[in-house]
Amino acid sequence: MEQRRSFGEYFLFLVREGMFRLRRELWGWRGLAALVTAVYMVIDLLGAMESDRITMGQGMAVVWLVVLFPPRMGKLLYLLPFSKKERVHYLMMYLFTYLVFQIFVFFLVGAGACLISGYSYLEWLRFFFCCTLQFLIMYSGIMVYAVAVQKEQKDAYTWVTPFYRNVDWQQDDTVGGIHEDCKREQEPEKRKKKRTELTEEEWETRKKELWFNGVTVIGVIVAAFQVYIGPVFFGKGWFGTWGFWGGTVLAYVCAVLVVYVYWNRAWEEIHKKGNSGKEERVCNS
Amino acid sequence: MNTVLEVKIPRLQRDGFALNEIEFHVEAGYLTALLGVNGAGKTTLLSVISGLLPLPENADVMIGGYSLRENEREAKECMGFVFDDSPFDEGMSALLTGDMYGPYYRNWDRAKYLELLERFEIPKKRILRKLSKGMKMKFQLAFALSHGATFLIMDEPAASLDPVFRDEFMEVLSEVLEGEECGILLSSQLVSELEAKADYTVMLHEGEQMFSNSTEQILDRFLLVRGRYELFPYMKSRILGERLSEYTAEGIILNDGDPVRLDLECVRPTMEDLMYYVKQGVVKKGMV
Repeated sequence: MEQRRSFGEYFLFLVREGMFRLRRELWGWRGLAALVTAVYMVIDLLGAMESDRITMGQGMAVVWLVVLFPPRMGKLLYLLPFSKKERVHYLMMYLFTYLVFQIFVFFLVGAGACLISGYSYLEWLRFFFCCTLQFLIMYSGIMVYAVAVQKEQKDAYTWVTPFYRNVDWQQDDTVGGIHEDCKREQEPEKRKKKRTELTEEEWETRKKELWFNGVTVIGVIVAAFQVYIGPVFFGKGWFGTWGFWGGTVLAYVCAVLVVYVYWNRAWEEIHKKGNSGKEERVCNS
Repeated sequence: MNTVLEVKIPRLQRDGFALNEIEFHVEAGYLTALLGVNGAGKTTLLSVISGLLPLPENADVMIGGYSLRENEREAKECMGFVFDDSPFDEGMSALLTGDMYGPYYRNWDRAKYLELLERFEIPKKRILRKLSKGMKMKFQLAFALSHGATFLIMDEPAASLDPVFRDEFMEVLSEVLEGEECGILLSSQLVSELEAKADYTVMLHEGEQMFSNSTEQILDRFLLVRGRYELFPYMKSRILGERLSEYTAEGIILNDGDPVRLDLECVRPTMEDLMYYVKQGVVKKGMV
């Protein structure tokens, strides 16, 4: 019974997974936290209507949202029978579905908040597309990498947040974690080499790394400016000026660059695992 | 005999830990136990075999005749996994998990999956988090068997099961093996129970493969001698290592057919005894 997998099939599976996740995640403490976020957004929108500034609650709410619902892929990405190419397809579709899920939840919370506060939903959406969506796009790029390097059934943040990486429980559970009762070969102490000590290949890798990090930092700064600093410092007057629209375009460009950078890193991670990607007859058929 | 897994890893260095000269195979219809104390390298080895860790250079793992390096997809089609820490999303039901992930396998048989869920008495629509530990293990087994896996990799599947459930689970595994189409590599700390069921044993210690033979052969290679400690000096040259208590002494010797003093009790060691002496460093690689 041979079954072929098409791109459309991946999509349908993942849409179904996304819908299920929506139903599941909005129930329980995460649902409660989403409700608190919505209440916060209502207060923020009421404040925005009364004052000179425009809503900045979206930025805060979206940060809350991405922290609340980290993508969880775990080991399955590497356990399921995928060739490299298929794994990349799957990862792309997973992240796409995940982003759609995030945006859908955000729209839902925003609609509720606008309905209660009486704030114009159109205005709210305008702010979303001009200031907040770039942040979500940027985030999805970083998550591509996080999901690709994730090996355990833990939240993907574990693999991108230095704080989590340094805590003991993570080490205990991770493959290759340190067990005290076992004698280990000690690796020589790692010291960051100076430029003059680097080989040409190492220098190329270092340059690439610097470029990646630079793009990420600049991208995050631009996104933060667009979603927080601009509206706070320049108030309503800024909304509709070149600074605002220029900032929007710049933030989208930065978001795309960050996604590109992290997609490259995820690609490299997936390609570390050996497989020629050849299609062959399978055992037991 | 049909080989379902072949492992050749000359060396793997990772996070300050190294696996050295690992080479063994698993045959269809047989249960192979992967044993070792904590930190011996069992989980690292299983992670390499299951593709969770990249294969080092010069190493290869063949699953169902497919190289994990060259034909990863085909190799994974032949592999089923049962892990103590289930890789599936625990918020999904068994039915939905099957429908979501099953069709990624070419040989996925939904009817068989439903039949197995019924046979193992797993509620189809209850989310995995609400299933008991034993049920989760059986669910993973049902999933693996429904895509026609010829090799099952199991990491501590029975660790947190109660004895009744454990027996039941082992019975299911025996049934799987009876078909002689599927081979199992099982890592567990429940050494005494596994000793009776495992046809072959691979023992690791500090990243080294100590033995890889039939369980009987390994156990028959050694003898435990017990008795009064005063009698031990007469056998000093043969005793590899000893374990002393207040009233009695125990030593391990190689079973090379030579007679042992009549006033010493002589018994076959258990795998637990062997693990103890391996850890002491008296039972060494190449002795079997």
